[in-house]
Amino acid sequence: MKGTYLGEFEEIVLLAVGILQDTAYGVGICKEIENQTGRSVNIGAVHTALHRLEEKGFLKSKFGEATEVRGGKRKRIFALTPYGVKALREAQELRNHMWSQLPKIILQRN
Amino acid sequence: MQHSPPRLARKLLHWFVNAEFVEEIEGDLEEVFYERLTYQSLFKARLHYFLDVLRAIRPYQPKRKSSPVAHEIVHWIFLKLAFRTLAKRKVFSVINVSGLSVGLVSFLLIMEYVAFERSYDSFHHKGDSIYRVAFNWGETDYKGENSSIYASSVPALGPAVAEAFPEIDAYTRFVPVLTVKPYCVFNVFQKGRLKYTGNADNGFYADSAFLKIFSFPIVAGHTEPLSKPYSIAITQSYAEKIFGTLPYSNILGSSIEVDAQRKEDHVITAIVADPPANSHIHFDYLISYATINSSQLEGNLGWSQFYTYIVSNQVLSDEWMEPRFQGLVEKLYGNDSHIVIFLQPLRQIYLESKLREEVGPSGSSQQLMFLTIIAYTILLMEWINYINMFLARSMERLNEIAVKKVLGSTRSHLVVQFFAESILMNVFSFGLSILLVLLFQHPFENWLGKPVSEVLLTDTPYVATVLSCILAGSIAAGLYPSLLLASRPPVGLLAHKYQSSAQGIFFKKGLLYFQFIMSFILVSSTLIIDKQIEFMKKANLGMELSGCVAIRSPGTVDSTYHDRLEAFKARLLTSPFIKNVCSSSTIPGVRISKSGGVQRVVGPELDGNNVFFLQVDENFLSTYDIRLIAGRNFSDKPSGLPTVILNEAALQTLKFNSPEEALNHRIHWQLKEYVVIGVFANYNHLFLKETFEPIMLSFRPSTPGYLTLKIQEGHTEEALAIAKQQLQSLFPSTPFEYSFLESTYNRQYQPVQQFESLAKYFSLLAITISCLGLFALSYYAVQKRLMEIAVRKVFGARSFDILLLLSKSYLKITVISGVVGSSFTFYLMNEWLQNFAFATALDFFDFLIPFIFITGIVLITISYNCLRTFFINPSHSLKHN
Repeated sequence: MKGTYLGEFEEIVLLAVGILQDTAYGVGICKEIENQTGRSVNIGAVHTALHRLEEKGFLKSKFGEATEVRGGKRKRIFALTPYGVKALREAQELRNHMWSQLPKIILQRN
Repeated sequence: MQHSPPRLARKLLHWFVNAEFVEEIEGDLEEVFYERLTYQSLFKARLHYFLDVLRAIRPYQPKRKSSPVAHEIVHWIFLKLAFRTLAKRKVFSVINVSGLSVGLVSFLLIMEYVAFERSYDSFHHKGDSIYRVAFNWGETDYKGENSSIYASSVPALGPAVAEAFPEIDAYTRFVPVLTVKPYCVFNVFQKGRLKYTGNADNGFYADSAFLKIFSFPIVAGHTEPLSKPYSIAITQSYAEKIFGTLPYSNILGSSIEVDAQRKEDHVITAIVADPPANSHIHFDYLISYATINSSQLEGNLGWSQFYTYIVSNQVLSDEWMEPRFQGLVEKLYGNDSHIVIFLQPLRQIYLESKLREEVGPSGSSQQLMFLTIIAYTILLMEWINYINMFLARSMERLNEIAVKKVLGSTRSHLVVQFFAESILMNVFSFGLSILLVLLFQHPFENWLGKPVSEVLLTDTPYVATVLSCILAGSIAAGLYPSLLLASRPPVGLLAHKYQSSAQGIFFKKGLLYFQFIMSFILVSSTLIIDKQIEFMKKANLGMELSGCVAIRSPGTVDSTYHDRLEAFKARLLTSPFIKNVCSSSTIPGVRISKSGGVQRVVGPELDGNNVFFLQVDENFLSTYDIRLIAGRNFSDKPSGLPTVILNEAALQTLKFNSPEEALNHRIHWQLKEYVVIGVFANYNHLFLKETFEPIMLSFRPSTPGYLTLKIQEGHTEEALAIAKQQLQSLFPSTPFEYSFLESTYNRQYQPVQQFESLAKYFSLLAITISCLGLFALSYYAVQKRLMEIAVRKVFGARSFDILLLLSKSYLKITVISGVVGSSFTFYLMNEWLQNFAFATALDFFDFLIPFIFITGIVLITISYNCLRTFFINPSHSLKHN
């Protein structure tokens, strides 16, 4: 349980990486999250999260092609590892499991 | 793209972010930056970029992974490489190491001396709260200069000060024994036989607070040795001088017969440790103050030869002192006196105080400053040199560096390698210089006459500062060339397109200018100091000292004294070897201690009227060959009023227009009336640093003080033998001690001469160091132009042309340094010569000679490298390129 624990932001980053597939690099991920959640995200925070997730083994990365826009610097393209997918799934299951236990009355009242 | 992110931020990114991630992060940030530019101002975009960078530098970002360099340092590979490189280029290494060590040795020795001078009087426990009460009588001489500020004060002052101010806890008074009793002989008898006899050396009448205020520990005997009259405390070395190895228990309680005017036994009550070398108060013995036993002592306000020191329970500032002391002076001397009393903190006395009648010799903070600057300059020159040599030598190593780079050495690899070499060289030089310092320690201390190493370890902060300066400098000198070399791109190095950047050239030239200006200043200053010394030695002093021998006036002054002394003089004069004899209260070369204001009985009121008072007999002027320019000499025939002869300076003080005008005028000096019978030409009573002081000769045929014998040339020994024999027949048990006036007089030059030999030594050192640097630089310059020279030779250039070509730029440096150095020297030496009342004049040759000298040395130094190129076959150097 503890090994695959994901924070809220980490979960969102992982999901964004999954959605973007081959274009999942720092700025792209950052923008995706901003679009999806509507909140402004700091690029530094994304970098930190990406590298921590890679260290934990949820993500893997490789260098992409260099482009003009970035002054010739290569992008690092991130992709989900099977372990990462498993972690996402576990997080979702945990949530579903807990949702199912929520008494109906609470949901109705609000 | 027109705009780019701020450079500093990018650098930060590279410094602090793991190399593995930096590319990607930088790319991302740049992408965001350019996107922002489309809707934001450049400033805002840059600001955001900066902030992003700062956010990217997170503490949890893995730091730079340790590079292989660190790994290899552990394996000592660089140290090994450094050893090999140094061993391979032996000549360069030896020059470098010896240059560095010589610089360090002189630096360390100078710093030792400076530390010693700074340490004066630091051993007193109460040091910070002890002050000396100094006395300004407020009397000015005819030039308007105050010549009456004394370190000594009057007997009444100590008690008066302590009584008036509760801030002052205690006071002590002391006075040199020889001041109170000019003739004083110590005799020690054991079992009724005379064991020791000698003139009283350096000692004080001191009150019992003396040993409590100052930290001169008592080794054996009474805890309050100076409380009773006729008690004497002697130092350990004086005890050894008198009693040899006798145990202290036997010495204590025995007595010394003090023969001064009358014979009195003094009981030894204590043995005191020798005053440390860094004390401004030195003594061989102390006699209790009460022994003086003079009716004039208590409450005396005019006897100005007593030193008064006080201990205060708080810091006494000038503002505190001034109004209070003024009040005290008014109480003691009345409202209309010019007298000013002031305090001098004990720790500052040695270096800062330059008053009349100082307790001991004093140092000079100005000189220490000068020495400190010189020491650091030498060290700086040495490091500069080291850098130059290192860069010059690296010419040979360009291939090595290039190949290393191509094979994958990083910049830091190379820096570490070069730095290892520097460290090795510096450590080696430092070790060597410590050895040399230990070796030179003894001769150095002998030369200075001061045990400088004794106090070295007591001033820890100072030593630490000096050592950290050395450390920082060595590191900087090692790191700079390493960084410079390692930063060159490999391709350029391989292709031998090694061109210094404009900045590099400027730097190197700057270093050369600095070195040569310093050398020039030092060489020309040495010559000028030398010139001044010669000037002083050759100057006409207005008197003749050669062949003069001084003896302290013999015997107890009693009723028979006058007759015996006259008999002694008469007997001496019968000898064919003795041309003349005179007695005087003091001799040339020794300051006259008696002075006071003079007034004319008839004539204008005088203001700046301090005049020095010398008691002599009728032979004084003839013995010293001092010229009488008007009037007559003293004669035995008594006339009504006591008579005086003035010198020209005193004439000016008294505002007489001509010598003749002064004759037969009556004057007042210290409440007595005198009549002027003659005027003598000014002579240099003290050496030429001092002006002609106004002197008044008064007639006293057998004054206690000194006897001067003028001896026939070449018969010194016979004359001295006769003098000794006659002295002992007329004054039995008087020790015969004499000094040659010329040498005692010349002893005044000693500080200047020491200064000169220091300057000489430094200029030699500076020249050597600069030439080493020049040699390295010219080597480097010639090496760079080998091909050019070869081509020129092929096309028929003569050797002379090439020499000119190669030496032109160095000659330019010499000339410019010469001009700049001359102006500095001119200014500095003019300042220095201000210290002398009689100074030599500076002229063009004082600067031309050092210029020719240095230019010659420069040419010799570079000619080796230039000549070398002539003998290389042009085809050889062409082929190599």
